Amino acid sequence: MNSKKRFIPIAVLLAVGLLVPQVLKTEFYLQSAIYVLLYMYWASSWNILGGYTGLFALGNGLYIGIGAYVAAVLFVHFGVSPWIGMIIAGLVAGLISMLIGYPVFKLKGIYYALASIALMSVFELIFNNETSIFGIYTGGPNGLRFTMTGNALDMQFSGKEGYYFLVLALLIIVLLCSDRIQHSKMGYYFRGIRANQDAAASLGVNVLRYKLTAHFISAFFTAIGGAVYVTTFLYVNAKTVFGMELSFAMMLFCVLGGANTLWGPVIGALIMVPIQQGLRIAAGSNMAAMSSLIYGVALCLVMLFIPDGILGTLKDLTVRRRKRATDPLQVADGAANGGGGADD
Amino acid sequence: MKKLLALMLALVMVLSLAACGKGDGDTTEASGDTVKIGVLLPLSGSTASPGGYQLEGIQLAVDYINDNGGIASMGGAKLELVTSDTTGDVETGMTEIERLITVEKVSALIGPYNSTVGAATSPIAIQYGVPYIITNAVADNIMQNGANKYVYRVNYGASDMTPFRGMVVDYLGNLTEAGKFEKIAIIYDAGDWGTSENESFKEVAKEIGAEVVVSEAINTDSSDLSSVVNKIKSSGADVVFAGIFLNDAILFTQQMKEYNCDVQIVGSGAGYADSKWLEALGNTAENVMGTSDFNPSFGLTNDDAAALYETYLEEHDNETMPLETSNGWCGMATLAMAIEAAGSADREDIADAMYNLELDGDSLPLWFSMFEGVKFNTEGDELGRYNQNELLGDTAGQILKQVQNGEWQLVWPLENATAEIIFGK
Amino acid sequence: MQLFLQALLDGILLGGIYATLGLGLSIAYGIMHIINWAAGQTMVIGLYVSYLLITKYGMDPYVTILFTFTLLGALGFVLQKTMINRIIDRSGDRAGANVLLFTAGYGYVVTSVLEMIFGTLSVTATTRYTGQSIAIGFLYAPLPKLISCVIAIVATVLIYIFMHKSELGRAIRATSQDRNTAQLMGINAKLMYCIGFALSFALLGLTASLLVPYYPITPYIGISFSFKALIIVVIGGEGNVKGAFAGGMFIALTEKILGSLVSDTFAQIMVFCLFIVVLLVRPEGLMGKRVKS
Repeated sequence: MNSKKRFIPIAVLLAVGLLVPQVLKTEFYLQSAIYVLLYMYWASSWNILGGYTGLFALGNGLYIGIGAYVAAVLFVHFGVSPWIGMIIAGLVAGLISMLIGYPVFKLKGIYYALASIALMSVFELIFNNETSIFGIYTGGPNGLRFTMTGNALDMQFSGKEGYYFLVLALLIIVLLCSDRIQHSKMGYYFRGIRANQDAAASLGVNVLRYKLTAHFISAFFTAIGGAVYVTTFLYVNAKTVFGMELSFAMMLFCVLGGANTLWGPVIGALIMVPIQQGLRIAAGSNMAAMSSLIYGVALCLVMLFIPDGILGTLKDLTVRRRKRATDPLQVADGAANGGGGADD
Repeated sequence: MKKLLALMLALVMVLSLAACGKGDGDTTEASGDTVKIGVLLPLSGSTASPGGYQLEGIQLAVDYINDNGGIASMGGAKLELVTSDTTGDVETGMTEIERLITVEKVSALIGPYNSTVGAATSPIAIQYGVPYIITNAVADNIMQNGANKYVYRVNYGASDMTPFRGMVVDYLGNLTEAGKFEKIAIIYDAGDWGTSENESFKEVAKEIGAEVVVSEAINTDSSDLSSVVNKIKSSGADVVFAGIFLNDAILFTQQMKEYNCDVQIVGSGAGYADSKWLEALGNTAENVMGTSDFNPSFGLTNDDAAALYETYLEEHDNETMPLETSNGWCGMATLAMAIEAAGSADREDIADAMYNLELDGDSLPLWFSMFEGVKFNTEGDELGRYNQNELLGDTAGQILKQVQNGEWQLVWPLENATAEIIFGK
Repeated sequence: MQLFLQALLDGILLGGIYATLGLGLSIAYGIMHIINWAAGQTMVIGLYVSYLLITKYGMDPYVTILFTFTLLGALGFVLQKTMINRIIDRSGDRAGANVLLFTAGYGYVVTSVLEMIFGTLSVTATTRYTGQSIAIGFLYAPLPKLISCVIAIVATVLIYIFMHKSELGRAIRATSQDRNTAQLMGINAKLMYCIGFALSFALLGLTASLLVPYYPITPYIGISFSFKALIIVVIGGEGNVKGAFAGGMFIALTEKILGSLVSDTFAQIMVFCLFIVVLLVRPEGLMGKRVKS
């Protein structure tokens, strides 16, 4: 694919993204837009691990939590601005992900998913019940509140636009990264691991190294998202940041839109998040139940009819059309993108 | 293909977000003759029961005011409630308060019952400059946002309860063989409120020289408390104080009976003060004690209040008004007085009126509460709390009840007791 | 000492229930090598069904077993036949992940529908067994927990006999060990899957009836049960009656003993940590057979 052309969609996204705050003036709607972008960002971060590399980490919310608490503690106790704090948070999360990745790298499929959730739950239990970790006050069940300084240097903007543009920027960055990965050798190895880990190993791919890399990148971005998330709320709470809801949502949106594609996570979030936000206004107290219902039904339908997600299935159809093309590399690439074990 | 997709993506995104943006009118805070009040309460989830009670109190107050001429200084303007369900969850609460402020454009806010939600939402009200009456939500940190004129609390805070606690514990302690409590156990809900309960009881224990042998946090809506019951049983505690919500209160009482643990239970508001608790337990509840506030046997402020209370009792099968309802009423009544004083639906005017508000004696409105009046501590108190109501009275309206023969009886303060306490020797 | 022994007793009483819960999941996994992510939510359906029968018709909670067993069994059969079999067919070796996600979606649907019907308030059934306990020396065993545990253990034994001695049971196990060979021997693999899944749901229904006399019900408890069931199955050894029993007992004892000695939260954390250790060191579980990859 022509290297310049493929950046057009991202540019379009950027343009549209910049226009949105002109249309949505009310803070509440702008906040909803921020959520949409944030979930797109998180789903894309998850995609690197779960989509490209096929490591179904259902507990990646762990890194949202780590990112959140690291940034929070650095700001509240040490006065480190979240601008710096979020980078540190990302690095810490990345490191932890590699520490975790090492022993679990042998685990496959469901075992890996379960281990990842178990870890996240352990963190949730600890952070929710202990008010101090290693002597630093983290708030326990009450959560930790940020000191309000209103200073943009502390990532506290007056009005929502600041946060909006920050998250938009992060989304663009992660998409550019994902795109880079997809078209690089690393991405090629990721796909190999996704398709068949053992086969890749026997072909000489250093599976451990690439799994750890995938872990690191995914965790790094996810954690930064966590840091920004709690900074917009000025509040961090273990049940939320280490909770199943966020963790599951990341995965759900990615799968819905099409894991292992660049735009799948974006589309998944784009469809589902406004629904949830809209229900909040429309359904009142039934909102939680209705949005869960819609998530559940959507997931069931996708698994029944389009298990590769929206984009994944669309890609499948176009690949089958292009099957007649003579370029063997393209066909192989398309087959790998359409999911392992396909009968192409 | 990619280009088309990208274009579609862009269109969908703008359209869907713009669709949300519809109804983004620029109406002012009061349209004609109504004053919009935003209500934040848990109407579903683990604290839905007390949330419902609190909403009822607020609604009753609004109905009463509207039926009696509305806001006179605004030519009889009516109060209008805009409710939103926080589900007891912090992030939902934060999103909802923003929606109420920026989309519904309410003139003032009232709520949110849950301490954690209160702590998270009070800075937001200050940020947007919207007057916010905190109802229940007793954690002290809610009022520790520094000097401001937007966040107020009419009912007691956690620390205001401690002196009362001291009195109750002293009184009960005197009834034991040893003349005071040697060992006490505390179980509390693992959240802001529960944690402050725990701190409060620990402090009381220190004052009377008792040892805290069990201090255990309970996850809301636990399914099995047998481990805690077991611990309490082996700890040799003389009494267990329980700051937990309805479902856990039911479960805990049941399991104490099942495991034959006869340590006296003294519930602290919340779950134990809920009439559903007694309904669920029947006989098992016998002799359990609980603290609460607002009991009409103390006497209501005037004849109108008494008459209204009679109607309330008729409609509620003679169930005493729960503390959440009375706190809701008081919060709303206070807010209404401020709006009356301000004579406008403007947020700043109402905030200023609240800041200078003083209600006691004759100027007290129809009032279902034991609080003596309203005056907010705008200079801050020793705990760094701002705008906490100082006219709470000695016992902050607290009472101690006990289940006897399947019914709640007031056993303390003694001068208002309806029955004698069954405890100790 | 009393603390420890009481905790031990509580652990055993709970272990029986965990065993049937784990069995419910284990059979499905053992047969089809797919995970039902919503075992807990399914059980909650059973809880509400049982609760309704008790409160509306005054049925004895243990009689409701007949209903929950059959109803959920039918539900499982239908689900497998109409949807899950289809997903397995179409997914090749991604079947595991896809079915897992499907059941996760189904779990959400169940939870939200239950919430819309029954609301969010917790309910507990009051039966003639409520509040009573049997004294064993200085220890106490709440009556409903005791009866439930006994029934659970009996059920486990019956299932074991069924799976190992009956014709149908052997057919199901054959299908799980080698689908193709089993089919060559005339076994309808798809039907076996349906029966197996039906059985697993039926067992979840049984577990529900056993819990209903004393367990507080809300639409949300399913999630923690689902995860617990998974932990039981993995630690015990999947696909294995003995494994589910061992896993159930082990987890229950850990929870209760650590809960009483330290705290419930600590016990929970330990269970998760143990789970992770088992996953890393001995993924086939305590009773499972080591599988060469």
